[in-house]
Amino acid sequence: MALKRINKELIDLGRDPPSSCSAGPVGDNMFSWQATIMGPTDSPYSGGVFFLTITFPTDYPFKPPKVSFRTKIYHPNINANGSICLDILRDQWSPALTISKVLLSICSMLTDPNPDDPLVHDIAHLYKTDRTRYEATAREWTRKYAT
Amino acid sequence: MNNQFLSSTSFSPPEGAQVESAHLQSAAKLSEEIDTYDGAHRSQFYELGQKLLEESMGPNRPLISSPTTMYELREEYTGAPSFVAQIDSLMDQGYTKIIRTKGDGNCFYRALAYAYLSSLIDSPNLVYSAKSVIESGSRMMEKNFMDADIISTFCEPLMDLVDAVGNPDPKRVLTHDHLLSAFLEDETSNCIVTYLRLLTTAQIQSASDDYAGFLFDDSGESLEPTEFCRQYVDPLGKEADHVQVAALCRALKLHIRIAYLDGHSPDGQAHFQDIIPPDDGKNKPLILIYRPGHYDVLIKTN
Repeated sequence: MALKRINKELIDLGRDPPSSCSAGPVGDNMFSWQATIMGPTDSPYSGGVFFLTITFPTDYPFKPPKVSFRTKIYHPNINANGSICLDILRDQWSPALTISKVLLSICSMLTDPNPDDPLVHDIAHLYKTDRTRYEATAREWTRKYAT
Repeated sequence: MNNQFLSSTSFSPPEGAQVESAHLQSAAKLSEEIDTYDGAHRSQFYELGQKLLEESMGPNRPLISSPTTMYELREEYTGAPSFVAQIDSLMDQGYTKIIRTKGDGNCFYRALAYAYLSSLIDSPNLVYSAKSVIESGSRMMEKNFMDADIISTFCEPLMDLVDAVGNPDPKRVLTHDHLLSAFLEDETSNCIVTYLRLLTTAQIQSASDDYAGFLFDDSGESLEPTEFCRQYVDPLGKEADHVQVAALCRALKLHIRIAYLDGHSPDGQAHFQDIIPPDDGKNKPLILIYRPGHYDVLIKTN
């Protein structure tokens, strides 16, 4: 079932690609994908291209895919290892969700971080107390690592 | 693989048997304390129930088990007289067996699906209407912007079983044993659970006005139907509360009768709650047994 579903998602992504994201298998292994997200224009990540790794579990879609950033990014919900703190990648995963929906959720997380469920406390704190400095650092990292 | 799974669960000694008996003793002690304390708080009954439930619903249990007698359940509650009294009251009324589901947060959906298909095996004349109810359920999901292909992948295993009930070839017709094997397969079982979850979501969203006043998060804050379903219905492992139970019964047009085994009944009886959808087809109710936090299938012998 996993493979059939992953294939379906790949076809759907080709047919109706979400704006500003793309994803597909790296090589022959359909369970190992790479994705890219363009930094949303209304965010300090604008102009950056971020690479992500997607690994599907063998019991996909009953278990969520593992998604992480490979490009360094300054964000309250993404840590230095690229791990993403997003509820639909954990206990809020539903078998009806797709990679396309996950990528769109990550995009909206880039525009609207969730500082109340942070992975990097310092960044969350800065986001809450000094938005201008947070945005400046995020832009700086985007320029340095994502362009 | 399925057979392997079956044999490994039926022949190996129960894992952590000693731990379980220790639990039993502590539960018995707790029960004594409760019995000697007149104004026992509900939470203590809850605590007692949870201890006993956890040990009978551990993580190593199969997704579903073949029918066991109520005597077995009664044994597990030896230290808890208020539960025993309720079990006795059920046995007196002819409820002699239970089919246990794994305590993985999907128990309501799995127990309901099993009871539903089992009732079709007993009354194959209902297959036709069951199919049309499921088909209209899928249409309701599509109207709620769910992906038709994804819905059909989850619907297929359920439809295959319903079709098998009505198979004119007696050699290939679905039996209770086949049903049990199907529900022990992770993929089949979880597809069916997922389908029922998505159907519940579609029902809540299609008639959101009817449910709007009853949708809350864990801290009691009111939630929008979409958000409620995203958090508490769609993900596997999220327990079903009254809203989900009512919505699913309505979507499937099923009358459900739930026996409450909560150790908290002034007259020692297990009480029943009937959930009857607006357009119930007047079929025999499906019977489930609820222990705080867990649903199993209850069987009445005539």
